[in-house]
Amino acid sequence: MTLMRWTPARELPTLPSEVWSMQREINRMFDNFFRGNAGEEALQMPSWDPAVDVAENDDAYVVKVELPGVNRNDVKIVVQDRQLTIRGEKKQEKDAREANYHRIERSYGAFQRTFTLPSGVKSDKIEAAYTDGILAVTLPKAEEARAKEIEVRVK
Amino acid sequence: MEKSIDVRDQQTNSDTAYDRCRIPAADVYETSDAFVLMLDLPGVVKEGISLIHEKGELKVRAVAAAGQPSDMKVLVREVRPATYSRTFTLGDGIDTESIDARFDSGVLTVKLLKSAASRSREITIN
Repeated sequence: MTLMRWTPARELPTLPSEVWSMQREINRMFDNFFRGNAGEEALQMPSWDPAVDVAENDDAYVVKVELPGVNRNDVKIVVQDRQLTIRGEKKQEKDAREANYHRIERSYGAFQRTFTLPSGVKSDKIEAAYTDGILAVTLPKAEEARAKEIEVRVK
Repeated sequence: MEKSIDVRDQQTNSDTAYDRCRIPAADVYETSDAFVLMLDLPGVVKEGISLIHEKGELKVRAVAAAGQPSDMKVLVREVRPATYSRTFTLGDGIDTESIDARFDSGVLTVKLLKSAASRSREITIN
């Protein structure tokens, strides 16, 4: 078993990633459109899904999330019932909120991504670092989950 | 009033890695004395950004640092490995001598001061 994205629309798992990114793009356009007309409340709604890369090696899983312009204190990483949730909020800067906007394409507001963890993750040893707009969460594998090399003698 | 920053998203011929180019999301807002341009460039280091002002255009190009180290096996890939590229056309109302740029947490912020003539100012009534 491997680290799984939690996707509410699990019945469509075979769609190529372009479809998902297109869906994200369309969602973003809708978000932007409605944010333009709605009041403060619209800003409170979970409004975007940051893009994620997941990779593994012998020692760990690494989840990288694109979070440009997010304050690290506004990010929460929670592990519960073998689910890893990364959530937070991207706030607009104060002087920008008063300003006259010509174009808003960047995502603001609450975001959340959830992953189901494989067994054999040392959940007490999870570490996270935020650099240059990327949050990297490292999930070390427990001893028994690591790939072992077994030599088989051919007779 | 004429809009003083316009965006040109067409790829130029010089973008050889056409399909690898990613157009970074941009916000443009106007204050009383400046236009502010904010671009999302996650995964880029400051040294990887080139910002060129030339012939009334502001060209931003950036290269994201290498993705996963080679010993990593990729399980999910949503982040496109990227060269970012975008060009903005600057109008007349900008003082091109004083363009200020800073990069923090994956966001490039470019402040373009308005030329004295195009600033809004309140006029005192005598």
